[in-house]
Formats: sequence, C-alpha cells, structure tokens
Amino acid sequence: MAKQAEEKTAPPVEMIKIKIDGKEVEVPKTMPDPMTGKPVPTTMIQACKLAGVEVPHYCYHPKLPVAGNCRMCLVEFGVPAMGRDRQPILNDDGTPQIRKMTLPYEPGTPRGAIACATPISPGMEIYPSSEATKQMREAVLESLLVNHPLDCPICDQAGECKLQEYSVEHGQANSQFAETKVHKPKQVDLGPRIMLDDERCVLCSRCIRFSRDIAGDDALGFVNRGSYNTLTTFPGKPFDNNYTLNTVDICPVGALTSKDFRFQMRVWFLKETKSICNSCGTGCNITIGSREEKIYRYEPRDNDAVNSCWMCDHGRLNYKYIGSPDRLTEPKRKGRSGVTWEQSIANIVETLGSAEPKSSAIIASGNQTTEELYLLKKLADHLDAVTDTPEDTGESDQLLVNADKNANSNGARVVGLTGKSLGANLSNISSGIKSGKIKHLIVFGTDVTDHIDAKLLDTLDLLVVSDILPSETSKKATYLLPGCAHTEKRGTFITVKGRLQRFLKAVEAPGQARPEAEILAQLVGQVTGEDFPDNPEGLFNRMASEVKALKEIKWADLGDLGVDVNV
Amino acid sequence: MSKALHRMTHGDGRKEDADYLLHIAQNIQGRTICAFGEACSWPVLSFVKKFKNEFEARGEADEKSKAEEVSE
Repeated sequence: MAKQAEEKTAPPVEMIKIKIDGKEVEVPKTMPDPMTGKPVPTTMIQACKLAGVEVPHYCYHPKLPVAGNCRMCLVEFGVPAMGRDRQPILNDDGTPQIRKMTLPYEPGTPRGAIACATPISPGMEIYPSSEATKQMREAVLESLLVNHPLDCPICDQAGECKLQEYSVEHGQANSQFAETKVHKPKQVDLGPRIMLDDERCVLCSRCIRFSRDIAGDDALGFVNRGSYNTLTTFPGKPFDNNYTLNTVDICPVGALTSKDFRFQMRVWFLKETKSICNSCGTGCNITIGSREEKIYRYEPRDNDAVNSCWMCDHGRLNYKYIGSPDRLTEPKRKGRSGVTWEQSIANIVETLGSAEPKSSAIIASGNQTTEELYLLKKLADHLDAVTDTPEDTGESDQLLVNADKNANSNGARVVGLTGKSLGANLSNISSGIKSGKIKHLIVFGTDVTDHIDAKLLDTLDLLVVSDILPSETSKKATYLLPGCAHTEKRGTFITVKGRLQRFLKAVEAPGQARPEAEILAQLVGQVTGEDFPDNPEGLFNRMASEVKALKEIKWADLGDLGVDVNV
Repeated sequence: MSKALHRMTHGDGRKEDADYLLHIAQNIQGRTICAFGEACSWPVLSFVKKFKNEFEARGEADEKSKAEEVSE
C-alpha cells in the first residue's frame, strides 16, 4: 500500500483507488517529479511499484526525466466505461464496467500504454500479468535483440544485465531471426574513463538524459537513422566530466563500460559491502565490490538524503591506494629491527603514563572514524594535551563534490578535537615543540610535515604515528603503528551536512595492521584506567552515550542510510 | 522486414517467410513511439494478407531451387 509522506507544510496528497492485477490498491494522485520536485500525476509504473509489481523497463529511471522510447513497459489496461450521460456504466452487481483499451484501427487487438508515461485515473485497471501484456513484452524484446550481438560471454554486464534478466523472465525461448545483424563500431573510446560498444546499445537514451540534465554536460547524442542509430559524442570532444561513470551504472546493457573495471572480474564473484566514500565530506553511500581481500570497484548506493543514486568519478576510482604494495604492515620501533604489538603498546603506555600534563599533543586526521577520534579525545583529556585536525580542502562543484576533502571533519568537531576551523592549533603545537614544552606527539592518519618542520619532529621524546602508507612523518616515528583503511574496519563518519553514517568491513587488513579503534581501546584504556569496549558496536554505543551531539543513538539503529545529528 | 523482403526477391526466401513478415509487422504496429511503426507495417500487412498464397509460393519455389542447386 502507498506510504503517505506528510510534510509539515504541504497538505496530504489525494489518494486514488485503482486495480492492479485484480487487486485494489490506493495510491497517491501525484508524486514529486525527480527533476523539479513539483507534484506531477502518478504514472502507472510508479503505482505498480507501490503495489509491489515490477514492470520491466529500460529507458525509464526514477531519477531521470521520462523518455518513453523503449516500449518495454507496455501494459494492457482498462478504464471505466462511460455512457452518453458522462456517468459510469455499471455491471449487474453494481461495480463499474471496465472497458479494455484496444487499437482504434483493429478493435480485436488490445492496446498497450507505456506505464512510465501514462498517468493513472480513478477506477483504472492495470493488467501487468495478462496474456496480452506478456505478448507485448515478448515482441519488444524480440525487436531489441534483433541487432544485439551475442556478446554475453565477453560482456562485463553479464550478471547485472537487464536485457538478460528480462529475456529470461519475459522473452521467447526460441529465436526466429533469419537475417544478418547490423554492425556498428565496437570499441569506441568515448572518453578517458568510458568505453562504448555501439552494437550492444539498445538506444534507451538514459546516458544522454543523465549527462544533459543531471551532470549538466550535453555531450552524448544519437546519429544516423533507423537500424543504424548510433550513440556518439561530438567529433573531437571527449565525454569527460566528473560524473561519466554514473552512465555505466544506469546503462541497462553492456554498451557503456568503465575502462577501469573492464574485464577485471565477473560481477557474481564480487562480495558487496555497504560503505561510505571517503574522498570528500559529502559521504556518498557506496557498495564495495571485492573478492578475496582485493577491491575491484565502488558503486553508489541509493540514499536520497545524501547522494540520490550517483557518485563522482574521482571518489569512485579512489580505491587503488588501499591495495598498494607500500602499505605499512608491521609495528616498528625506531632503531630496533622487530617489535610486537604488545611491546609497542606497553612501552607507549609507560611513557605516556608518566608524562607531565600539557607536555603532549595529538594531531588526528579528519579521515579517522568518529570512534577513533573519540578515543583520542579521551587520551587528550587525560594528558591535558593540545589537539587539532589538519584542514584538507580542494575544489567543489554544484553537485556532489564538497570542498572539504576530509571524510569526517565534523566527527573531529563533534568529539571536541578541533574547533570550527580546522588547523587553527597547529602553529601552537609547532611552537610548543620548538620551545621544548611539548615532548610527546601522537599523529594519526596524516603527514604533519606539511605544518610542522621535519627537523622539529626529531627533537621529540616520543613520536607515535599510526598510518596506512609511509610518509615523511612515519619515517621519523619512535613507534609506528600500522592502521586500516576505512574498507578494512567498521566505523562511522559524519558528513558536512551533519549526517552520521556507518560503514562496514569489506576486506582484511594486510599483514599485522589492526583497526585504529582496537589499538586505541587498549592504549587509551591502559593510560587512563578506563575500560573501553574493543568491538565497533560497543564502542559506538559508549561514544553515543557520552557525546551529547550523538543523542545516545545505538549502532543497531543507524541503519543503512544514517541519521542526522546536531553538529 | 526490409532484409527479409530483400532476401525473398533475391532468391533466398523460405515458405515460412509469409508468416514471418506478418508476425513482425503485427508486433510493430501500435507498439512504437511514433507513427512510422504503422507506416512501415501496414503496407506489408496488407500485401501479405491479400496475396498470402503468392508469397508462400515464392518461398516454396526458392527453397526448391536451392535444394536442386545443392543436389547438382
């Protein structure tokens, strides 16, 4: 049944009663248009979706303007018959008589309406499972497959291809095609990240509409007529904006493929993990596709509050550093050849336990999880240490990309490690080290030589560094603790808009690297004497009960889409 | 449809081509986004329906002559 979204200012939407496959349902009369947000009449495909019936479609997409050219969503339907006096004609038992629509020039044949563009009216009956509808779908699939190459064994889309899925569900089993197929250009280099195969294209025009209306870059179009209809860009102008890989997601067949993922892995082998992108503060929801501790791709997840169903190309391709052979894998002690985790932590605890107040500083990256930042704050409070988070800004755009390139700046603000503007305390820390007041520095996840002179770091008594890749700072560490990338641990990030979102673990960390939250739970626990849970849920629940902004939310209530918090 | 007719006029027809053309044309009319669907299928429908025996005869003749070529 339809969910009624009642907003505080808008009046409730009028509901209409229609019948889908004989079952009566009540659906809203209007629904918001994906592009403008204004209420437009509900279409049959939306009504069927609310009733739980999936109508097959290619060119329709809930977030794009309607095109109506694939004809896959044709359904048989009927409207209440009206008499001459504009009153409905009734059956013997009082129910309104339904007149099924037929072709005007051939009254014996049912007429189908495209469900994606036909608005519903009260009393209408839709038959998405009738014989006539099934015959229409078979016919449309036959036409679509006429010039489609037999590429399934080499096509990337196999396993997530809508043509495959609908052919199995709604198509004919036998082919009666007796001609030669039309050949079109096969490996067309559309742009730096996209490869096009014109023969596989079913001409749904989703990519054209996405690029023109959502990305704002009118780059693609159809040329030539009839069977030779081809997708192309302007000659000499590559398809190159920061959202091109979204067209690969929405292409229902394997026509548009990502050059990065092409031929890398069959999709049914990939383990899918729900996570968050960490390339900027927007926090787009992603699904990580991985197999056996290697990440193969990121794909966007639906979250209307954050990223709709898109993500930018930069964030999408920013997973390669996680599998780098340079990853730090073992705890290290300056001047010694091998050291274990137990030894490192015990020594650090000893040094910090006897440290004077105000003689320590903690610099934590804005890419650490909220739980790790919370534990670092606990340590800072105990040691009376100066803390800060370095700023990381870059370009932004009107769509998804945010200027703040830290994934969790708000996390650092919420737990109290930094103030409204990041990096304000770094000069204080630098002068503190110079004057000799600050003797112990703890650095998590960042290269501080951008802000503190490298020679100054040599003057410290204790430099504890946790990171995943080697840097100038990690080379000078007294104790180097290898940490995890966000795909190797569970935790939360808070976006720039104040949404707390959780992410899950996809792959194992390399070597002896451990999640920073585990390291800190032990370390901070032993230094402060407080007992911290070392599992992600327990730690999160503990943090949420102490940090006021997090309103005592439980990990289990975070869900897949996150919750808004006050920042 | 154009390719099927081209085949038939060049001696490569089959007996079932008559029904094949009917099937394609009937699946196009009423199911396209523009009226060109009817524009291309109605002539085929009317020709094949009115002169079905001629289409079938031509298909049969083509099959027979191909079989004779092979056996020679």
